[in-house]
Amino acid sequence: MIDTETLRKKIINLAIQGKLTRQLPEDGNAEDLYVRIQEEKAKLINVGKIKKDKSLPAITDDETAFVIPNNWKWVRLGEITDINGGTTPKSNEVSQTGDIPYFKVSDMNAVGNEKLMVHAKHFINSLYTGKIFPAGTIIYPKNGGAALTNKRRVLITDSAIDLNTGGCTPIIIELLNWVKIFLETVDFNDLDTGSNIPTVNATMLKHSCIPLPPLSEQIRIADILDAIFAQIEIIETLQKQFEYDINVLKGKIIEYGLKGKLTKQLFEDGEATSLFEEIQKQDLNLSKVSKTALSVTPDDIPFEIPKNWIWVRLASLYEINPKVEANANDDAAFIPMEKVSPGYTKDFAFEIQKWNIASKNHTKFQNDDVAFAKISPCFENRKSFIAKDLPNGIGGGTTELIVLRQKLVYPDYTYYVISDQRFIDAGSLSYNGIVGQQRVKSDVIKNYLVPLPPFAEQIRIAKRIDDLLCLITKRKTV
Amino acid sequence: MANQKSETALVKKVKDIANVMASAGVGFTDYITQLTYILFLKMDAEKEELGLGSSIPEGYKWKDVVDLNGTDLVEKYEEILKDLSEQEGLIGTIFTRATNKIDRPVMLKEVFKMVASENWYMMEGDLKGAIYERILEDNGQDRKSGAGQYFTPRALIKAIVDVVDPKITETVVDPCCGTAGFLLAAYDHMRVQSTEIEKQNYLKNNALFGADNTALVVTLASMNLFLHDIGVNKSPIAYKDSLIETTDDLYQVVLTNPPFGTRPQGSVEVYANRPEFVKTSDNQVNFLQHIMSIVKTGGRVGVILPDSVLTDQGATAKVREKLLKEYNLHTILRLPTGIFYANGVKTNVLFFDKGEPTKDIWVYDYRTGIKHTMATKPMTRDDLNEFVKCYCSGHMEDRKPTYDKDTNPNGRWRKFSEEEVKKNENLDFKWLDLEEKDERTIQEILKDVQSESDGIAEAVAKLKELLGDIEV
Repeated sequence: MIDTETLRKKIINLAIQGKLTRQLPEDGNAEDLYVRIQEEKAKLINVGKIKKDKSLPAITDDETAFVIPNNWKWVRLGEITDINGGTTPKSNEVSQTGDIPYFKVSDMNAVGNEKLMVHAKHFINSLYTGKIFPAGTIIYPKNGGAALTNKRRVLITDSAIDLNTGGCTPIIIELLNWVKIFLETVDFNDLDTGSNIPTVNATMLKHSCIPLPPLSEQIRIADILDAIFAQIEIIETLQKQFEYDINVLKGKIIEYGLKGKLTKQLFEDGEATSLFEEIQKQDLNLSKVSKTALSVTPDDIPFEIPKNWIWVRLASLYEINPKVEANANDDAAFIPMEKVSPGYTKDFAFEIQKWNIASKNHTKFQNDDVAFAKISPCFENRKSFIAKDLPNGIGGGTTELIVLRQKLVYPDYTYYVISDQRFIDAGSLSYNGIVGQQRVKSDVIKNYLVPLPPFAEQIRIAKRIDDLLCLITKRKTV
Repeated sequence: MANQKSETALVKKVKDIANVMASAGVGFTDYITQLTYILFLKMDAEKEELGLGSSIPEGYKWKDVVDLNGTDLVEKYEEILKDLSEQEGLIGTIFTRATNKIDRPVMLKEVFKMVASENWYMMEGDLKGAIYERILEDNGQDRKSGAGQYFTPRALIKAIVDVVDPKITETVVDPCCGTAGFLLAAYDHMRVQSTEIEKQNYLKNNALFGADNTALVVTLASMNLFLHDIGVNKSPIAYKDSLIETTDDLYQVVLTNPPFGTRPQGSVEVYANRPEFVKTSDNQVNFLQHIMSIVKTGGRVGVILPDSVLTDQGATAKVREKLLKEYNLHTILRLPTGIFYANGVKTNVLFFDKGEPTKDIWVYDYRTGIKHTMATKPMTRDDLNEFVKCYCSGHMEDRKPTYDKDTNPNGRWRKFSEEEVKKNENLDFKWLDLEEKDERTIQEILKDVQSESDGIAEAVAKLKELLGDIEV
């Protein structure tokens, strides 16, 4: 998948270095623009619209991060914009309607306000004496944790902002897009000088060096960035959908596999009923559930299966959390929850521990057992594995596992049975316990209806699903 | 059936050339626009041959350009476009701001050859129109920057027209008409209502009105209508920004799908020209206000608007207040995502009449638990059959809800009484609690995955084009 975040950053960096566009002779010189900005600034100071600030020092060579085209000019942000903080209105200065909206930091998160501050919940009235920031001001959180999120929005109408919000107003409105683009490259974490609470240092912000192109090139750069970002946005949306659909696809493949739709039913496989008889002949310690509870009636059946398969309740098929015999001093695997892979991967990682430590008060298992997490959210995340290649064939692990054993059923087939969406749905709908500690109900697991094919077909199904999932994962790289 | 066969064959012919164009760097939209111009020239020539006169001035006709080749062809063609764009009436509208986008003579010649190979004028209006509509629809679906910014699905348009039910003697307007989908559907709906020549003429020449602020779609819309024999003397489509340039004309029926998003930066301020509006930069809210201002008393409106118009506070709430006070908003149809190709957009259709305040609001939830995708499961007209039936167009007093608190809590058609409407702080009515199960088959998912993958590849190609030889 394409890393769109990194791509965006790279492109903006090219943009502000003047590498995304050609410099044309008819653009003229940024020096002229700079003079115009200073004249406009003087006018605004004269009429009291902006305060006169200390003049900023000239820019030295080591402050400029890269070489810019000849007709551009390095300036300080404070020279071409007016930077101020807001004033929180008193309660009698705010109302639900009005002409001048008032924004707090949290309003930047409102739906619809992702770029422009379109939706306002509050307005100020004539009693307010704080600064009104003009349309075209870039606002950002300047105090508090939000200041480090590099969130920025643009005011589309004259507005008031609270004291935790800063406003950066371009001296002439034509500079708005360029300043916005430049700020994308500034990490406010670098301007944080708050000792306790993060604070964007206004002085540092004013001192920031910004390359200034002539206006006509600024427009060209903004245009091409729009076009580029439109495509990147499309890529992002589609990639998200793609990921989602791939996941759904994987689920469907397993679903179809367990319905017998991915494999042919062969005469030589025999009947699953014989397999089940063999299973019952073993003297296993299957769960003590009554025969009636384990019977299957036509109404219970969720879907049609091939004629030579049968429906079996899980508790009639597998030993659940069976015993494991081993010597206290034997090396064994220990698998904590973090080491179990989620999703449709069967692996896990382990540490080696002595059996008495690995097993004491832990879940126990041996090679060919299939285990899955019983606690939320690990259960829905499909944290599960097939025990393979364990030292001495034995292992212990997190208590939040359920272990299934049946040597006459192909382990990989079992793995897909418990990875199937139908199993996950049944389990998660049955959750017991308080939020944060929810576990699947054991009765639901015991009663779960497993479609059982003959052994040979189990192998074919598992292999087919393996191949298809592998194919999908390989093709994922677009 | 002969018609169907020729329609498919002709559409294929046009699209084959489109692929040739695309590989030469001419986008589908540009191609369709040029095709429109050239088609018009040819049809005018055929008309003249039949003795029916020509609308194009001497020296700028089909015969003056068709036999040329190479750069001569391109030059003459561009000369024609320039001259015709300055003409009055229908010609001027079709050729609004016409410029040539196919500058390679060989490519341009291909289009001329294809157009020359058929006789278009005598083709049934239905056939020509159907071909054009199909091409526009594919164009609208293929690319997000297609001709109509958000091409309204024809199934939805048809359902809206069915329930709003314009009559053959009424005036119908679409103030942001795009490629004239609504106007055409209204026309199809109205023309079967009477065989009287007078009424038919009125319908064709004086009943339908549209406007759009994008020159390209004005061309396509005018051509679309022209091919259906509507507005043959004068295009009913105006090239203007309806929010700014408005007249005192009022209409009996308004059907429209305003463009989504905020007004582009740099546009003329709406409020400056419409001081009677509640001030807002939300494009849809401004269009809602505009629609409210152009409908006659007793008139009917069907308008597609996003969720934000139903829920936003501030200026939007004020406009909603006015709507509920002075208009009867009797029905809301909640639409699912996945029917426009703007991903995830949540929209609704609002139906209201002018003249009385709102009392009860009937809501049809066609959103919860509904899954459509443009590629594999597009919305069809049949999907809205239950809605159209429940609407009881023309006899709304017979409406009955399908929702019942006890017996059918998942019923999609529900009435909210005046008190319930007043209690709700906005127009967002939800009550269904269905679980969303993905019903697609493996084949359908694969198709969707393929189309997503293709979309990504296309966007990457466009990116590469934009970046040129710049190293990223």
